[in-house]
Amino acid sequence: MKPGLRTFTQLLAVLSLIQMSACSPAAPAGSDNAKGNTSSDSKGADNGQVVLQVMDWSDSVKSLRDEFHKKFMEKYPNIKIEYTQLTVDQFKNTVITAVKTNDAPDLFPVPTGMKLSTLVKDKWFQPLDPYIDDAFKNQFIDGTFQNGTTMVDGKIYSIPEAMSLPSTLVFYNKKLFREAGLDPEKPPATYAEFRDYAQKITAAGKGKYYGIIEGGKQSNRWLSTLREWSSLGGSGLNGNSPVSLATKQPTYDSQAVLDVFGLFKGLAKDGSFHPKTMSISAPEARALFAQDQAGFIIQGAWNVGVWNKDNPKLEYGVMAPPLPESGRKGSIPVTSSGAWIGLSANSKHPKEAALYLKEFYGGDFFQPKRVESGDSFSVVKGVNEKYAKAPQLKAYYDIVQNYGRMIPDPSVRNPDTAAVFSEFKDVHPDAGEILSAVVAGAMKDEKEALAQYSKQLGTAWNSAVEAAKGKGAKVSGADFEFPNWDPMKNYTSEDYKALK
Amino acid sequence: MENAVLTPESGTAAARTRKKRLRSVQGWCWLFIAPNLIFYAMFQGWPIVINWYYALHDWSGLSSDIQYVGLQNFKDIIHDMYFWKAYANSFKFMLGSVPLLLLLALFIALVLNNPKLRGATVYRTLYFIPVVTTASIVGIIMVYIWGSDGAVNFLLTSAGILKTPVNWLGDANWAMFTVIIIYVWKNLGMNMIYWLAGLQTVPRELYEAARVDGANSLRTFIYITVPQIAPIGLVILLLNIAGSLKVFDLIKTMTEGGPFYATDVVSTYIYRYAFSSEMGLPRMGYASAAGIFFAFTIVLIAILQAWINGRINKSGKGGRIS
Repeated sequence: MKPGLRTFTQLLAVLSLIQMSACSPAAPAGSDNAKGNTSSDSKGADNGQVVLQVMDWSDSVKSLRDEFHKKFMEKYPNIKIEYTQLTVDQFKNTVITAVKTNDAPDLFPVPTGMKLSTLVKDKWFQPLDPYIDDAFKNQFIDGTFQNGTTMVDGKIYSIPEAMSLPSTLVFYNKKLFREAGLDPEKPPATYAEFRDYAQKITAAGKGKYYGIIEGGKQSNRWLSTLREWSSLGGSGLNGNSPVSLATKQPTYDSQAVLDVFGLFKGLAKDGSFHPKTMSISAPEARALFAQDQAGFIIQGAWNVGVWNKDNPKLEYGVMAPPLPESGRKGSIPVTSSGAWIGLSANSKHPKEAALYLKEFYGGDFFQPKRVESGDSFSVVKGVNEKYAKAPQLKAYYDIVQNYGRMIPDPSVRNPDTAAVFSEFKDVHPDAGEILSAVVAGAMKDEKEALAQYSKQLGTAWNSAVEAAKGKGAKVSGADFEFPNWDPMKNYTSEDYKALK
Repeated sequence: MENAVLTPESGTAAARTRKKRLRSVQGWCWLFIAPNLIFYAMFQGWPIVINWYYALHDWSGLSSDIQYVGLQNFKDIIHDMYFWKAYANSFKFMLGSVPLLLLLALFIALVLNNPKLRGATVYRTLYFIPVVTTASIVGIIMVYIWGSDGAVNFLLTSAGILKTPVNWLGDANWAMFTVIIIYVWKNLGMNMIYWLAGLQTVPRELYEAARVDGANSLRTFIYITVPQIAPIGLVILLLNIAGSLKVFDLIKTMTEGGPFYATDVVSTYIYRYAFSSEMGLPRMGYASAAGIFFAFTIVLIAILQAWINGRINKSGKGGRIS
């Protein structure tokens, strides 16, 4: 062979050697994700048996759900339910690939961060209307079915899982309070008191327990905490859009935000954070809190159900988030319950799926048991009043009524705003990631990072609005501004009407 | 391929049968390669081709909304500080893990190559077991072993080396170091096997001649072993460099690129943009462009390596590497 040809073939051999010697494929195909759905492509057609596939991430009520399925299959022996539960990240990756390969489960929720109208446009879901009757619809509390949240173009596509409550109140361990010489009936009310209490608990713990624990690996938890706590200080931040309701801009470096950062930076400096914080997820933090390893944890109402079942000896209380020294200038943002479960567009058993939903919401087992266990509040009328017994859940609800206020939702005002979200390109690192970096000690000066983040967010948001307009959506930046919003009052349908 | 010999009987039946047999052999060769080629085309070739297509488009990977944007994705990547951070981290990881892997594995291979060592097969197996474990499972378990209340901290605090436990994987200063150590541990066995194969090609007569001439082990190693295994050493180096630049499962399960991007490498960066998002949608097109950008780097390194390899082969085997 000619020398040039030889070098070329050597090169080719070397390159293919790299390819074939790779232990893992170059394309991250997500093959490591637990694909709970196994071989079933035959959606059950032998001897009249129907296989209904349901998939979600509701880990806090898994045992109740399994029992519900058992009762359902006893009542309807020709329907077999295949229920797959994944973590919220696994679910997102899995369901996306499932939909693209036409192998989606019959019933599954809208993945986090995605808008129902975008998915309806892409033919992920089909309307529930042909399969549900008025009796079914009337059992839900007012405001459950709204254009822009659970309805698209006047058709119902999804039903919320539970009443939406803010997820960043503080649970505290009464036993550890006592051991640190603190009064369990007088939880801290201000940032300074909160930091002080955490420090006292850490000192009393001597390495066995610490002041506060969090699921530090999940940046969404940091982000929610930042938004909701700074809202109490008047920042106007919320999860409905990047735009602050107070400043009408994506302002993530306001004084209220910086105060929250100051508090967490102080907590980290004091050593009050449990050392495992940065490497665990929220469910792990929840389990460690229940083992008396921390005095405080910032979590949502669903923890009540888990602790009452798994850790009945845990003595805990719930308190409102602490307020900055400057006092309360706003409220915790409360949103209307969003879209959860929907019916796959390619489902071969819509009638059976509707039956499932009928039993799930209207049956006499699941909703009452769920509320009774203290997991959450139901969207079905009458259930909460009759079955909410857990005192901590009631306390959680009362605090939300006191400190939380309903905020405006741009999708209700103008359903076309969903187009802006599909054009929006997230800015990283986001405020939640910056907060976790500050707590982990990886970032010292957050003011700069937050100012830059706000600026980049503004640019990205404006480009998204322009791009959506360019594709024909009837939107503008003004759709996200609510001049008649009062941080201390609930935003009602009257307020939406007044906007026009 | 045998050279065709021109004889007066070229056009005769004998030559024709010879040609037919040759074609039949070639046909069988193609048949045997075909499965590998087909799978390669389907699972490696096609994704590479379609990746180019996606990189030129703005597409979330989920919705049907796909738009041609030309080189905009590449421009965005060049301007993203966090892409360059991930890029630098990839090389940091490579520079930290490859020398350790090569030298430690060589040392172990030298020890195991000694014919007087008893139970060499047992040791070889023990060192090789980490290689056959699944990287993602190893990653998950390592989070517990290296955690603030895990075995490593227990050992170090009991031995008095540490006063307070260090969260190895959660501390921005130690995360990269820890990840490198775990990667080296996992791949040591494979490199050891490569080196063993190389060591066993060194002719025994050279060692005997050296012993007769009175050379001690160190001189034997430097003047005989090293020049002999240098060519295979370069191949091992190339394989390790390419492998360490592509690390993904270990980092994803141990730190997810954290804390705060301290261990974020290009593969975790790409995964994040391709599959996750907070308020907007994921960006498959952007992630594909990042993948191509990085692939170019690896190809450049491979070409450089091949060129160096070619130069060394030309200067003759056994001579000192100039």
